[in-house]
Amino acid sequence: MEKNNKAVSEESLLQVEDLSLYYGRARVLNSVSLHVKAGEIAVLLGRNGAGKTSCLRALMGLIPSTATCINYSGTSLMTFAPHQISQLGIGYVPEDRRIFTDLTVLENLKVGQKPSSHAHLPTWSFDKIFDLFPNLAEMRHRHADKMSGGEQQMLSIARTLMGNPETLLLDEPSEGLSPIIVAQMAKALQTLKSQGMTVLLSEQNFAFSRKVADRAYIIEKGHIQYEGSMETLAEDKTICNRYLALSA
Amino acid sequence: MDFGFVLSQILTGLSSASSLFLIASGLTIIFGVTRIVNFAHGSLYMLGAYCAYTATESLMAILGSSLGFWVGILLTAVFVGLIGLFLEFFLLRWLYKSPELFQLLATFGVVLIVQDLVPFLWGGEDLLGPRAPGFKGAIEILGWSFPRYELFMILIGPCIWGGLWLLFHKTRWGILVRAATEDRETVATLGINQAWLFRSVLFLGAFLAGLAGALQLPKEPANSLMDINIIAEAFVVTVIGGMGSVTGAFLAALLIGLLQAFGILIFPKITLVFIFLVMAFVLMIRPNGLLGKYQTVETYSKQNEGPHDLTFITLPRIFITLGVCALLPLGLGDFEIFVLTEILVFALFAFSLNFLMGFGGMISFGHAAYFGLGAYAAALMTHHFQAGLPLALFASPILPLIAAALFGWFCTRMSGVYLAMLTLAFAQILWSIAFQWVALTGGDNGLIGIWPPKILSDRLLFYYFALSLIGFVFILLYKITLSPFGLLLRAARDSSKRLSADGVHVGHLRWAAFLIAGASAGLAGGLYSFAKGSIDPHILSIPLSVDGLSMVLMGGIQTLLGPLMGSAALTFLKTTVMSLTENWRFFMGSAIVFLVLVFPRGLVGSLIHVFALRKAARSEKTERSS
Repeated sequence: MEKNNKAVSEESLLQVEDLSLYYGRARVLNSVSLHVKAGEIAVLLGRNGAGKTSCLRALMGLIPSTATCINYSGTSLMTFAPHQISQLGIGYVPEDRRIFTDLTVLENLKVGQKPSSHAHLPTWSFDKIFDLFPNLAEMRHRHADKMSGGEQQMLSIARTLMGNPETLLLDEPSEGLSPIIVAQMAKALQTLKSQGMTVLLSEQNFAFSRKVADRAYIIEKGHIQYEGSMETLAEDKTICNRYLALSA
Repeated sequence: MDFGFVLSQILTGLSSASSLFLIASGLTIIFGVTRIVNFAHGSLYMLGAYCAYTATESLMAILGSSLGFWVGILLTAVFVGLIGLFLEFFLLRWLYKSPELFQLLATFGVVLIVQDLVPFLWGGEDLLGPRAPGFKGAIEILGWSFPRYELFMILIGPCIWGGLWLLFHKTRWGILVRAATEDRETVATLGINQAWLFRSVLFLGAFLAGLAGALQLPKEPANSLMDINIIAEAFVVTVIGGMGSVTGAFLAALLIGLLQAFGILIFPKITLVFIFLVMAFVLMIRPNGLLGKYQTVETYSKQNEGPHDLTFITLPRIFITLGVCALLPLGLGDFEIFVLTEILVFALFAFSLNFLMGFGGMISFGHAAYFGLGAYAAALMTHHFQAGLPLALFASPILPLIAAALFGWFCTRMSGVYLAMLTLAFAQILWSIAFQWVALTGGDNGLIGIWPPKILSDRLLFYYFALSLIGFVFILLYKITLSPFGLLLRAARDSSKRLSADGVHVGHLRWAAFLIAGASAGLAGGLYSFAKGSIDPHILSIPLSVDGLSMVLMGGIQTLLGPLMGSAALTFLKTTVMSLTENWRFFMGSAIVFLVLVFPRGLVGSLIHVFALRKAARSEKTERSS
């Protein structure tokens, strides 16, 4: 019985096979295959221009791509529009945050609001959001164009959470943020994970990824170069040095 | 001036500001979310007036005059809203990703279709509507009588503005619309189905236009000129207010309404000039309008990037084309030769427009201004100064050049829809001057008796004269597109920010292109007045600008030979098929809509595309086999 349960939870929630993507004649993604299990945080590591953002945008249906399969808990996403993908329970947080600057913090959150359809996850409310990101609570009536980069990043994640997603596609949440905010972000991600959220993260920041992720993919020039647990990767200095030019 | 008079002028201004605001708010809301400038918005307004005539007439008989009138007005607005939905479903939703030129053209196609549908459904007469029950007669304010209905109209504007403000700030739908105005893609990723958002916005915008038209009925009879008359003013108000901003539209409507009321005392006939000065002033200080944020920078080149046929067009090929043109009129009668001359003249007009759009990336919706000015320059020289053809033709590019220098200075600071709307407004101003300055231009009757001298009075000789001149200008334009200036111009079209970062003054570059295009169009206009022997304000009007665009579109944007083909196709259609029917507008409009939806690349463009596809397929085959 226990074994059976484990098999179900181990089954991948998001499964991608042979995802390819072209900008004009340039191939940006080359047969990318990856999967994310329910409740885990998987990270897509790579340098600038490696294809991380394109990969997440393609999964969200924002750019046309080809693949042999993109499945989300048994449903094929290949012909779905972005709003349908979102309604299935996939929340997307774009790299450039894309805050609605004309709207207040509260209004931004209202745009993201969607009823929950995942009983195993807590349902988000404004109060819970402000518990997770206390900074936002103090500025709920502020217009979003008067916020710092870190606050905008939090608002962007919070806005997506208001839609009660089951899975988050999180594009470089640590980019351009101060170390203190990055630490807060890592804490928030750990909280989300403890509540049962599934996350596919794209990152360049290895230290940040190491704190939150269970498994890692390394992407380089549109190819997946490495797949394995975060722990194994952290110990493999050769791979890290070859693909990630970093201070692990 | 006594105070009562000033007050009554203010009240008149406020009343017309309300009407303007109703129109402009719909236009700006639709633009904000869908990024489509709905040219047919004036048509919805006109339909509102006509439908209100029918609705109030029948309902006042059933429900009694008071209830019947107001229910009729409301039902009309809802009905016009539904027409907006219809428009969205069958036309606009196919255009959301199209270049804005196509959106403007397709919605103008709708304008033409409606212009023929209205007389078909309601007859050609102006229809005088009922007076508003409860608001008949006038009241006296400081000794000046003022219609009660105007007072009611003054209240309507702020009420609608307040209602819209509540709608956009206090309802989830409104917040979604504001979010989508800023960033549609992100709204979609948050799980919101844009299709419904777009439809509801179209309904609201059309509802407001219908309401404005219906409320106008007690003030002026429903007539078939309402659509074009209102659209230029509505464009000006939305541009001044800032595209996408309802409050901006409200402020701009107040500004324009009041200025019109007082401007009419200073320049009784050409208040449009006054409005133009205000618009120029506002845009100099705030290029995106009073409260606008969203300067649209997209031009069609981004989405419609195709192979340029600059390698396909070579000097020998140009000479072959000119040679074929030289052989065409042999053995034809006078009328046929006249039609061929017209084709050549409009080809030059279309070339100059294509130079501006295809290579400069600037969409002009008022290119007829320069064609018409050129024609008027030649005609005025002949008519008032008895100048000969050489001097008259010399003047024909000069006057448009001056106008292009002035207008272009404003226009080239804008891009995208702003530019299109500004060029249209400028052309409308020139049109109204030509129409109203009867002493100089002959007004609606125009000027007649502009004939070439005896040596060129033979149709065939004049054809060759025109051909050699047009061929010369064409080769010149071709050389310019290949020159360093032409290359920079195309670079500015494709990536203006990059180019200015490289130290090029993009504004000056585009201004120069504007001048070249204006002068070439002017020369075409000058030739036209001599070919035809007479001119009238029609050659400055919006339909002629759209003819030019249709020719470019038919031939294919960003091709050099396309405009000639487009001119031939359109002129041929106009002289044959459309002269057979009274309802040419209906067919022309349908043809434009069809072209935009089915053949967005145009005739020559489609051919080139097919060749390019074949070539690509072939090279792929050889790649595979090797």
